[in-house]
Amino acid sequence: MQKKYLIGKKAVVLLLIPALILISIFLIFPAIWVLKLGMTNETLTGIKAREPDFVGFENFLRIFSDRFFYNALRISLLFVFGSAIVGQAGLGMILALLTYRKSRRLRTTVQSIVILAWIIPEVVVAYLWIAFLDKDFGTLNVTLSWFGFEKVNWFYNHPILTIVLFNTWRGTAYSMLLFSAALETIPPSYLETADIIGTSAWRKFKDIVLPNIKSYIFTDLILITLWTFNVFTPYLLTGGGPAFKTELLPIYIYRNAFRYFKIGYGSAISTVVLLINLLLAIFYITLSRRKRT
Amino acid sequence: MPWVEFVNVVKRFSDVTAVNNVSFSIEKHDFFTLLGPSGCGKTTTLRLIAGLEIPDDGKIFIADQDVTYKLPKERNVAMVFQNYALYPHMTVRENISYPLVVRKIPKGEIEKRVRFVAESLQISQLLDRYPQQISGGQQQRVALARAMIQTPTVFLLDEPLSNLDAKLRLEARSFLKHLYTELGTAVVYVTHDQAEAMALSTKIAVMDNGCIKQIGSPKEIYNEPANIFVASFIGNPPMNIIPCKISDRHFLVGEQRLQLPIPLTELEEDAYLGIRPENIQIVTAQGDLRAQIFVIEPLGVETIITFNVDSFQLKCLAFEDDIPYKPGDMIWIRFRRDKIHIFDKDGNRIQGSETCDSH
Amino acid sequence: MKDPKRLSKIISYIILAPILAFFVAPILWLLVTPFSLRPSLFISISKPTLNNFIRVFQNKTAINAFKNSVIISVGVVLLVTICALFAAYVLSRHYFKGRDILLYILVLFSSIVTGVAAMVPIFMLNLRLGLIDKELGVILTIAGGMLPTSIFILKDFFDSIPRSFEEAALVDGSSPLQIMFKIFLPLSSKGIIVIAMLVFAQSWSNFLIPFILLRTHTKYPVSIAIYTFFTEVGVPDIGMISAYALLYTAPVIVMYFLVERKFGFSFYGGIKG
Repeated sequence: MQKKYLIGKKAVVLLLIPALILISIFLIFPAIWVLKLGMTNETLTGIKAREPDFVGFENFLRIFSDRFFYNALRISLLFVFGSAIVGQAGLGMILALLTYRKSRRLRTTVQSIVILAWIIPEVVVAYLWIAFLDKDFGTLNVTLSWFGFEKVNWFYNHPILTIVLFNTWRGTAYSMLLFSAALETIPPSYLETADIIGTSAWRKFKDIVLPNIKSYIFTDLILITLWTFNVFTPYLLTGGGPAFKTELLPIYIYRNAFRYFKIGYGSAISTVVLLINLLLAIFYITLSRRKRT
Repeated sequence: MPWVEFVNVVKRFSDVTAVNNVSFSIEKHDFFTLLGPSGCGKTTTLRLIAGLEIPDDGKIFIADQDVTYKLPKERNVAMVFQNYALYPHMTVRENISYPLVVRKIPKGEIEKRVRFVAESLQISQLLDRYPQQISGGQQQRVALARAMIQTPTVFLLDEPLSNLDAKLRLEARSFLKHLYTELGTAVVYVTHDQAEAMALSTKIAVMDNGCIKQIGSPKEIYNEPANIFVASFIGNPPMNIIPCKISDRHFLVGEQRLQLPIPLTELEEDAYLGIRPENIQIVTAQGDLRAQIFVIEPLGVETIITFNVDSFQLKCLAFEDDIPYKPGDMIWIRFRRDKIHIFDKDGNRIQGSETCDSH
Repeated sequence: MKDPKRLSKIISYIILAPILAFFVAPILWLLVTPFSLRPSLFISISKPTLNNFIRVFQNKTAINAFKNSVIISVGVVLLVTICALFAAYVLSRHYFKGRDILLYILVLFSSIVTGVAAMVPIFMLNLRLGLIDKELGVILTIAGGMLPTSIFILKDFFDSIPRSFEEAALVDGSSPLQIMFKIFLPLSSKGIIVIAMLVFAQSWSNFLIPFILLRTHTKYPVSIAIYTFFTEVGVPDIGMISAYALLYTAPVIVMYFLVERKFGFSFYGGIKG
């Protein structure tokens, strides 16, 4: 519908342009340029920094025979599955259900605590966990030792479990909030009808709650998969170690580009990550559009 | 010259024609109501008068001036929106005086006019409150006050009563009618409520699908509806419309033959008979049609009786205190002869059909 | 009297307790240690002291990093809020050909191009533009990344403001500028303030972008300064680092709860991703 008077054509262009310029240069352009960078052997230092050669798909082919890439991919998949799908979504659902139809105070308290873990700046969070998991003085080991457990070197002996636990702690808030909001959309009369019939708690969840919030769960799973796939924070905890055991794809990109200065190869891996993001994003947008209509 | 005039106005929104070749004229003393179901183009028509929409075709005149392409503020109109659009960040006083403030009227003059308008609308005690602190009925008066303070050429009211609850709506309606006599200029009023239109207007335009179906005084619209759409939109319960066949100068309703000699000659076989509920009587002797009572709904003053005639359902209004029937009873009904309307198979009323009284 | 609900209540508390302990424990350390006389990696409560904070204020690097963080965050907030306000207003109030495609492209790119996935081209872009080791590069990069989401949130907010307010003002005789400043901005001020606060919190917390774009120590924002404090060789000063971390975290938490009080949690979710 055209509203002639609120803004004229010239004003439309003038008002849109600053945002569009910034977005085009700093968001859209890098995503496209990365393809071209990935086809060069550009480095940050040395002769190839000044005059990089065009090498076509050489970098991309090399990815497929790079065992470090496969290592990073495997760890990323484990990380996404463990911390996002099992950890965040699972724990988020449990928390949402436990606070559903409970007193406002309980819910606010639980949510505030979980949200704190989500909003504290990542560098602080990393340090908190380094302290929390410290072998000799960390809160976790000291507490465990009170119960007679032996002290564990978490970072060294259970590296993947450590970053999975960490990221579950870090990101559960989003799923919890989304599921809580989803539960609120179920008309109370649905559950009250079930109460009158005398339905068990599990059947209420399976037959009434789950079908009604299915689309929210899909949305949540896609989004947290996308986000978790693009998390860099574990680098601040472990630096990718020990012995590349926590080297997620983003950390592998970082190592190639900024430790070995291999811009071309780093760009090629970036391209792969962006393509995976693209698939997830298209999946997400299609789903949310279908929900709207 | 008419006060407001539409000449062949067309307004399209992408592929929907919201207003399709509409023409009408309003006199200065008119309370002109645009009446129709939602989506019929009545609000768009109002917005065209206000200048919030620009027509794709046609011309609009206000007070002898061609305003078709004029800005809203150049038209000197005042509008009350359905949701009142009272600015939540301004007090009632600031809301009412806003139209004068932007027109740079001197402060003293504004103060005087706010006081006058607030008094005549009985909202003086609310001036320093915020819109969200007052009731719906009060908000409606504030919106009216903001319109009245401008001394506009035309008042435009977009369903101003629809946000009020039933009881308040009746009260506000009476007040609005009283207010109209003080305004001294034309009012264009949009509503989907036929009772509001009947109660308030001097002239009603019934709209459907972007077209005006009939323009006339409330009496004309009620007594001589131009077509089935108008007939069944006006009145509560609405007019009964019965499809029937004409043969041998008689009506056939379902299996029954209605003894109704027709003076009209040029009639096709298929037609519709229209009769308002209050014009059907239940009679003890033989009447026009045999019917079976379906349900009886007493409403206090009147009683709505629904009955089946073959496959049709008719409603009748009875004003007796005691209805000596119960659902399932077979009865005779009779139509008041001078209140029968006949529509051709396209739904247009056949002029003079109410004169087909034979007895 | 037997309450059948009590049992389920008790069960839910029994499940909730260890989960909450898991979430609270690391945070508790942040709240306690800065005030501790003998700070260690364990949560130990002693007589509270402000000594650790005093050492932060005596540390030139720490204070300088605060200044840098403020420069970067304020820059991003101004840039994003103003650009997003303009764009969202047009997108909410004006239909033009290609608007839906534009929105689609924005949604798509804003969700796939994360700073993490695109760190290499982002670095190279800043290198070519001569923005490496400059605050401007950090500001522009973070702003570009946050703009689409900010535009969507603001557009949603503007869409929820009925047009009839502006139309009423139009009929009442206002000029477009009067409508903008007297009607639209006051009506939408809440949404704009919320966006500004969220953008501030996000850019204040950002680690990766300054980490890859800045080189000079004196230009580091707090996020990088803290990281160098606890990774540098030697025994880290736990007391000072924890006090510094708490000072750094406080504004984020304050802003978050201010936003929460005004709009509930849903608003934050949009921009966090």
